[in-house]
Formats: sequence, C-alpha cells, structure tokens
Amino acid sequence: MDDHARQVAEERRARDRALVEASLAGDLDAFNRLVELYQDYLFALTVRVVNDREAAADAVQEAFFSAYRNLHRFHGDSFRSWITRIALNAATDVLRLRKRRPADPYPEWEDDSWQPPADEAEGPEHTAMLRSRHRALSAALQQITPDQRAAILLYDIEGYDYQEIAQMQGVSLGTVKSRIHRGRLALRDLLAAQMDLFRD
Amino acid sequence: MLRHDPAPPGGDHQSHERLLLVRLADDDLSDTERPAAEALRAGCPDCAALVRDVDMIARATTSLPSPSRPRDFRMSREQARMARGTFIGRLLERLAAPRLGILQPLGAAAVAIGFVLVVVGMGLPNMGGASSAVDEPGVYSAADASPTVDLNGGGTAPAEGAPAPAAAGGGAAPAEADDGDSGGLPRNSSGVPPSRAVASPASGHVVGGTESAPGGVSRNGTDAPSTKAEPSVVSGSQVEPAGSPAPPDLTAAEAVEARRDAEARLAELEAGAARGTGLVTFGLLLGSMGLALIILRVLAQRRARDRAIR
Repeated sequence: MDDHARQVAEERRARDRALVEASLAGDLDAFNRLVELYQDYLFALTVRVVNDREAAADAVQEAFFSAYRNLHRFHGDSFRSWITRIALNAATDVLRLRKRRPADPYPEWEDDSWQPPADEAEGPEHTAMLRSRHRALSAALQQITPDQRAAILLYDIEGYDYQEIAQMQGVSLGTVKSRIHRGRLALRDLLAAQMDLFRD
Repeated sequence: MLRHDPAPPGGDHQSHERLLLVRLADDDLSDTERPAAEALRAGCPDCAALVRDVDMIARATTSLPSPSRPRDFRMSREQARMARGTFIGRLLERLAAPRLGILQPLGAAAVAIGFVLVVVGMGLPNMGGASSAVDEPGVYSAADASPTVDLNGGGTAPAEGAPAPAAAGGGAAPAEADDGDSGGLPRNSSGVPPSRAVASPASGHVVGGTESAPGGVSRNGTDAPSTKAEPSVVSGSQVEPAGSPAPPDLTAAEAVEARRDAEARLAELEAGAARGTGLVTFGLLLGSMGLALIILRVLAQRRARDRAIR
C-alpha cells in the first residue's frame, strides 16, 4: 500500500471513528451517515454470499441494527471491517435458516435482472458473453462452501488481505488461505467446461 | 496443512499438487516452494492451464458487477429505538455476561434453601413444647373439654361434651343453657367475684364467672340436667367425666392459673404458627427468586448464543 492509499485509509478511519463517537452521543444522523457510506458495499457483499436479494437486504438491515445496538463495543481500528464482520455473520444466519428450510435454495440463479446492464458499446456478443460469464461464476460461487465463498469475495472483490479476513471471520490466517485456495480450486473444477467464457 | 511434495514434472497431472499451483496463481508461495511450483507449471501443460484458469476466474470474480440495493437502510428514530432493544432485552444481555456465571449456582442454592425453609416452616407449628404439652392428658387448654370447678358446691362440673351428671347433693350440677342474664348471680362459694372470672374461649366454661355455656358452669345445685346427659362418675365434691383421665382437683385459683397457662401455651402455639408462616413465605419467595434467576440466566445465555453468530 503506497503512502497515498495509506493516508486515504487513515482519513477514512478517522472519519468513521468521529461518526461512531457522535452516534454514541445520541446523534442518529451520524449513524445514518455511516449507513450511507457502507450500505452499498455491504449489500453487494451479502447478496453474493446468500444469493438472495431479500434475504441479503434483511441481513444488511439486521447488521446495521446490531451495529447500532453494540456501537459501544466498537473499539477496533476499522469500522468497515467491523460492520463487514457483522454483516457476514448475519448472512451466515440467513444461510443457516435456508439450510433448515431449503424450499427455494437459490432463487437468483436464473434471475440476473438485478445485475447492472453491461456496456452496450462493446457489442451485443460481448455483452451476452459477459452476462453468461457472470451467471456461470455466480452459480459456481454458490456451490462452494459459504466460508470459502465469503473469503474469496472479501479477498477478490473487497480487496482485504488474509489477515483482515482472518479477523473478520474469526479464524486463523492459515484457515483463510486454505479456504481461498481450496475455493479457487473448486471453482475451477466447476467451471472447467465453461472456461471459454473467461478468455477475453 | 498443504503438502509441498509435488510430483516431478512430466508425470501424471492427477498426481501433481494442485493446491500448490493455486497458491502460485495467488502469489502465496514461499521462496522454497516457488521453484517446485514453477517447475510443475513449466513441465505440465495441464498444470499450466490450471494456473491460468485460476487466475482468470479470480479476475472475473473481481469484475463481478455490484448488485444495486433494493432499499435504503438508514434508520428512522422508531427503528433506532427498537434497535436499542427493550429493558428486558438489555437485562438479558447483561445477565448473559460470562462474569455472571455464578448466577446459576446461586439461583440453585436459593431454590434449595427456599425449599428447606418451606419444609421447616410447614412443620414448625407442630414442633416444640407447646403443641406436645397441649396433647398431654389432664392439661388444660382452650380446646379441651375440661372439667370446670363448681363454684357453688366446691365440686366440679363436667365440661361440654362430657358426661352430664346426675345431681349429687350440693356438689356437681348438670349443665344448663344460660339465658344470658348473669346480673343476679351471687358470689360463689369460693369468693371469686364474677368480674374476675376467666372464660374459656372454646368451651365457654366459666370459672367463678358470670356467664355459662351449655355444660359449663354450675351456678347452684338446682339447675336442670342437661339433655345430653351421659353417665359420669360422681365422687365426693367432683365429677369425673367417664372415659377421660381424672381431672385434677383444682381450686378456683388453680383453675385460673391453669387457664392462664393454657392461654400462654395457646399464644406460644400461635406465635409458632406465625413464625412458620413467615418461614414458608420467605422460603417461597427465595425459591421463586432463585428459580427466576436460573430461568433468566438460561434465557439470556440462549439469546446470547443466538446473537453470537452476529
């Protein structure tokens, strides 16, 4: 991480800490500012973990409720990491609930209406290919274990390093690495027949 | 733990250490591991394809589109109030704290002590000297159908429920139903004024008193016999109820003394009963509190366990 990125990260943390302190003092607007800052990120992460928009929305809402309720327990360095951990745990709850009642396990598989439209300027074939790629990858992600999926998403999409993911998931560094590597291998095995979609 | 003993390049791809290749794609190898992984990639086309595929999938994952959220998650004041939870919720949260693990054994101890107190409290009125003394034959108590002293003839009249006598001289007289008019009663032969009479609360017996109850007082020897007359033994100046121990030959003063003694014992008995009731109440209260503590702690722990996954 270069100096600029480090400075940006530190400024972001300082801003979050100030908002947390204001929230603790009873300023609901300050907490809602934190919600504004992280709700898109949390929903995007959670919906990929649970693959159900409504369930993900519920998990995110519960995560913010839980964060608000336990704001006095936040003593960490990064509010982003803290709220991510809460949201992932809420998502895990959703998955457990679904495991008990697996009536409609993956409703989003055939529904990519929630995905933003691809850039039409690149041509319809490319757009169709991208959609197919995303659908195949999303389907494959749903077939690996939730722990592996969450670790890969945090690493690849959110850009956390192994140590940060280990703290979020409450496991050792080696476990995080193992989850990511085994998850990648599983994804490759699942997508072996569709690798043409991934070649540009 | 990952193995670091990849098969030599050129062999069967299935025997190659695939996780090592994934770690190569992730750039997560130590200096000692990297040469073996590079050798695999260089010597095995399938291994090279694996590394390439893993890398492509990782890049594709990075570029997955971000789904748009369906709603705004900012909280209203009402939601914030709900999120803070109820008093019970906050109480349970505090009760679930690990440092309060003593609560459960404490609650169990309270339940046990409460149970003991209830048992002791329930047994208390029947314990001690008061009740046993009452049960002794020949001892006066409020509940006794005790003989009373004949204030006129120096004899003893049978008590209520006791055998009514056949009149014997000026001694014992049969009981009669009092008409309630005691104003004209003369002083009795033992000289106890009517105002100092002691009335039995249970039987209505009067010793040297101004009132009488059925079967109670013999004012004189001419009262009509009781309709509930039973055979009794008349001996000298006293009447002994048949089938019961012979009552002591009491003077009026002794009778008063005995009555006071009986009343004192009765008061003691009542005090014992009050103590027992108090103990039972306290025991029930303590046991209930202990039980409530255990239930609250268990509920709090269960709730905390549910929330722990958050």
